[in-house]
Amino acid sequence: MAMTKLCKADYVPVGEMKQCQTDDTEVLVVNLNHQFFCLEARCTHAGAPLSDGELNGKILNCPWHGSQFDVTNGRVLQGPAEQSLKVYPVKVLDGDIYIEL
Amino acid sequence: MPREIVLGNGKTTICLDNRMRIRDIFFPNVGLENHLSGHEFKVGVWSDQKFDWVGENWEIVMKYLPDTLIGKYLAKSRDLEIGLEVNDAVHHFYNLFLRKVAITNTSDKRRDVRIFFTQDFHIYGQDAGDTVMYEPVLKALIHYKRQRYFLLGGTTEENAGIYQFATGIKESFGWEGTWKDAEDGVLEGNLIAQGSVDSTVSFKLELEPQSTKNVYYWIASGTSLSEVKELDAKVKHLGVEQMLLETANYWSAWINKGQANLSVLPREITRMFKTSLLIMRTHVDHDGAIIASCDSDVLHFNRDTYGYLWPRDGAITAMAFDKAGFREVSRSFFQFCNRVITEEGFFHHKYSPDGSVGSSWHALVDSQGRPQLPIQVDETALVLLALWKHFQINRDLEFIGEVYPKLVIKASEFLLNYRDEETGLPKPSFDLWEEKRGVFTSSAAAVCAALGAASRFAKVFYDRQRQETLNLAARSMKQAMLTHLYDQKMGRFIKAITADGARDYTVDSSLSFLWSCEVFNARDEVVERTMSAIMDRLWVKTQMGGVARYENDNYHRVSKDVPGNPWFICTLWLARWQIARAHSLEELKQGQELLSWVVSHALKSGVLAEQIDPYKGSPLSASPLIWSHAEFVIAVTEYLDKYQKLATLKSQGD
Repeated sequence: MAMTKLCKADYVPVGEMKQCQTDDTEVLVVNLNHQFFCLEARCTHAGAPLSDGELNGKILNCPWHGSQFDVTNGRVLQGPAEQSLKVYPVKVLDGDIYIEL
Repeated sequence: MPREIVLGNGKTTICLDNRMRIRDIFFPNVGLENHLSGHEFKVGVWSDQKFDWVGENWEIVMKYLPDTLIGKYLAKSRDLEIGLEVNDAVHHFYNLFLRKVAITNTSDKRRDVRIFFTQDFHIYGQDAGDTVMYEPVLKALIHYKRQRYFLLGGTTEENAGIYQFATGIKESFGWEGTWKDAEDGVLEGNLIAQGSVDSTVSFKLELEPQSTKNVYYWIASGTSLSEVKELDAKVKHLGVEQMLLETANYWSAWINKGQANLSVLPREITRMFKTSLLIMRTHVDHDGAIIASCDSDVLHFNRDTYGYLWPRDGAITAMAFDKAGFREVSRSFFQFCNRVITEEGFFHHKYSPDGSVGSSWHALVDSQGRPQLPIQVDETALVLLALWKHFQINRDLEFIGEVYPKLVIKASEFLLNYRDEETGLPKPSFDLWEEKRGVFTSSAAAVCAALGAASRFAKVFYDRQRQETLNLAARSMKQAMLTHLYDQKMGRFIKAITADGARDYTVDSSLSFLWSCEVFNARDEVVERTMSAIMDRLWVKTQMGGVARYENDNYHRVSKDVPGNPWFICTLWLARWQIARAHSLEELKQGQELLSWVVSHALKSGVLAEQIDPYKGSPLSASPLIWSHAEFVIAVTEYLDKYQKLATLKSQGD
């Protein structure tokens, strides 16, 4: 599967998350202590923009209805969301983040 | 009191203050008929024989859900041991105000809790001749007068409808209103009232200790009984939860369709950028008018409101929408302008959203009895300039072709003819602050830019003679500005030549039009010196900071120790100038700091007022002011463009 270049790694500081865009996909990039995780950028419950949520360690809180997700595997920790977030395979090469869509 | 939250869909607009009270309901046009007329709809809670209105005894935080026009409020009463989490919206398509209230019993005992909603309508802005009645089949209350109907409905999550209601007389014969009836926790159930009337409804919940239950409440607005009944059926069928989700997703999709790459800016600025666009959108009427502010509390100041379209404010807001990628909104504004522009080719002072000419304080004769045209000439000019900017971005030639014969040709011919033959400057008119009459540098800059814009339109349509005439007029006016409005000794532009021919040397932030209308380059020495005077004389030297309008500004004046109150638009002009003149990413930071200043002085919800108190930072005058939000959006887009350009140059240099 081809990898798609997403953004520079230094675009997302440690402990933060940002939304990036490929041609037709919104991707949430999370930097957990220099380890990058890329997930679908909208909550599976009602479509909220997760980049506007709060990140506490590896727990991501949805800004609209408070669903919680584990950013390392996308799993729901607390509803109302029921479905996990899609997690994209990531590679960092020469300071750039690549994902497999 | 400023408006903390504004919700709307272009037909129904609802504003709330910081005590969660609904303070304005406009329907069916934004800013035209206010059916509250400065009154309020309150929320109250009763439990254990105690009652309180949500207000000063409560801890309240009101914000928008990110990327949406959904209000999210948290309110807590330690005394009642009650917490409320409220979501409010106006459905993006239907004329329905939707409210979900999650009520939490924070005590350790089981309790009977009742929540109350009051409705103090003044339909068509007047309290006389209203009726409110209970509709037993729908289990709803209906307020009506002539062609305006408002239906109040609701339910609990257990499908228990309205528990009790009251209808009655208010503000007359010693009656205060039905809200008074609520304070003992019981409503008397009077079935109908007419005249000056109000109503209150309650919902009853049994709450276990530390548990939460939901109440849903809605207001349907319509022009007939059948219309509001249909809306009531719709919300009962779909449910408030579903309709809130639909609305959240609609606005989230809307705001994220913009093309701006915001990633280089801090999160608080990008959030403010989106909130600004959404708040601006609530002030766009479905017929194209862009209303200056829906905050009706300024009524108390001069018995009139900001509920009008000022062509200047509208033009600048249209530019902001275009720069952010929302051309369909700006297009409807230009269509509105094309409809209302006078046969002579100028715009009046202001307009109601139905296209009628708005109230004005500009007289038809001057103090000497001489006839004068009661206009602010920059208003006509800025619409023309905004239309050119729209075309530069969108290249929608067919649309421009529709408005060219009237909006472009008539307006530009008016501006050509409205020049002083001797000086080459525009003839006297009122200034953009709507206070004085004369030949203002800011107005001249706007007219000069508009003549240039019209010349470029003429080129597009191969209208060669017109192109040459307009181009020559623009160039002559620029030269005339240097000859008559630039003071060699002071090394800067003056504010104006007054109606009696005197030179007004007041330092005025609107001199920013010199470069913002692109008549002069931001780095031009004549601009640099003028802007230095603005920074030096108008920066408010208190803890608040910010830029005042001009020296000795008395409008809502708080103290004579400062030149005037800080205004968001004036501070943003300084930000835009810093951005325009930046030659490096390092220099660009000065602009970003001023953007952060704006964010830090906004209300928690993101609302920007017209001005702030120079000591307390609290909002003054209309709030929100759409022009403030528009200038913020323009400043952010200009920052992003400049960042991109400078970053590219830097990488090429590396």
